[in-house]
Amino acid sequence: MNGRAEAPKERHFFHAVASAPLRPFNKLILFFAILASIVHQALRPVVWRRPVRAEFWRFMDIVAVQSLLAVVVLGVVLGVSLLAQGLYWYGQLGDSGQFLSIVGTIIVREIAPIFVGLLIVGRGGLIMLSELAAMRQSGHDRALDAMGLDPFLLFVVPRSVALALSVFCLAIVLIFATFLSGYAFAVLTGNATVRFAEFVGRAYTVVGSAGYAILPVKTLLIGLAIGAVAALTANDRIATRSGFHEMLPVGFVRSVLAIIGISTVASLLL
Amino acid sequence: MDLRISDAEIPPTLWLADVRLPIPDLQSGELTVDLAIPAGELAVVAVNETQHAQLIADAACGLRPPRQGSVLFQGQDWIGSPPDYANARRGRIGCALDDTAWLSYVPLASNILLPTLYHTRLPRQDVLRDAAQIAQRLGFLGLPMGYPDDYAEADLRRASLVRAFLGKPDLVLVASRLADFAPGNLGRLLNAMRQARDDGAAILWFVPDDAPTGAAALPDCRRYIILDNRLVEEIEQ
Repeated sequence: MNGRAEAPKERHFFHAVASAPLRPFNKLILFFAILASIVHQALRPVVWRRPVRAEFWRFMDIVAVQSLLAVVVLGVVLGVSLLAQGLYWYGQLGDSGQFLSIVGTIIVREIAPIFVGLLIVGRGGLIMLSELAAMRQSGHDRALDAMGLDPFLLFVVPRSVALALSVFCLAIVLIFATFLSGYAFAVLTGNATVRFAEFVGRAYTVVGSAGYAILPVKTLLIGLAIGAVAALTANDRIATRSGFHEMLPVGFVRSVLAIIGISTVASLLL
Repeated sequence: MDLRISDAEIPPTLWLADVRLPIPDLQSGELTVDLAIPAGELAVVAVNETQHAQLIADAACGLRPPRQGSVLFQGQDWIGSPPDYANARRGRIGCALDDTAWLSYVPLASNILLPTLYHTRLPRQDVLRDAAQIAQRLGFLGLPMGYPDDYAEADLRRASLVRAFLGKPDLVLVASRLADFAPGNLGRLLNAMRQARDDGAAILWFVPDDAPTGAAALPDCRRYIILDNRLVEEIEQ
């Protein structure tokens, strides 16, 4: 049976899904479908051809390398404001306070993935969204199709993987920057009551107990979700109807919701 | 044992077999096309609407399923081809159409190399060398290294021809206006086409039907025109 004969059945099926009570969730279903498709395609070695690899490294540079300084600055601010407080109360109350562990755990499990995710939405997600939407508006995606270049494989997959790895790497950088700057601030203000070696040991324990499983899961999923939201929003009717003015805010809000949603679900499950 | 294959057994590179293509803006309108281009042949289609060229080009690439009839590329119908396989086959088609896709954030040279690097495993240096040769053949000094926004529209059209001829494609779709080429450059384009045809490519060239130079001036080709939404061959008097 060829595709021509099957097409009406497919149309009927998708039409039924789209018009069923699931309609309010169409965008959500589409989002998960894109997410699953990104993961599926990213795991196929044949997808990673030379231009796809080049696109991956280009986006790693834009997102990870060029965001490094911003993440370090964010880490210093967090370290000074949160961890120095933890160290202070740890010094005042001793082990019974558990402030250092609590603050450290919150940084590893919640703050680092969400804050880095938000940073990456602005740094990479919106760039990806605007470029994909521009490609769609100008009809370049169709011209690429004519050359056998699938825009999804050429742009969405490598960029989403780059986003995922970038969020993971930058979250690690943020955690280290936060801990180190917090300790440095505590030393400078005379609130550090533990030696550096002991601090490193406690920080290592905090990261180990709180983050070994949840940190990679959250950060990788958040990065992939930002890519999926960009692909979803760029293909929305809103992108072709009203241009970037409405599309970018919509993409930003969706990305933020996806980040918070993934973070919440992962925190509940892990 | 005689293993030679007669010409009759080799399918045309592109065959739109009694195809009826729905015209998007007209609910019931359709474009009827019956066209076969064997390897090494040039077919020139004079069109008065860009939409017609786009319809035929889309159908030739398997992007627009016909309402009736079959579109065969290298003897295989596009319909029923799995997506990956269809994309790999499209990699054998060079496109220099009006809706040229240029990624603005990478140099024009990288844009030109993109399809060939994607679809083949040819060493990058070899692809670069071939691209530079084709670029020179089409009037560039070498491979254009600037960004697409730095070039004039006519240069971009020529660059799209470089991309289309790169990688020894089996089929080349061209929608360049003759007016884009100075008399000397038109000769360069015809030479590039000649070279591609000698390498076995079939070429489908869309020209505006009011082109001043006229498709009639082109040697060694079959000429078609669209009359009443039907593609018909022009017979020389």
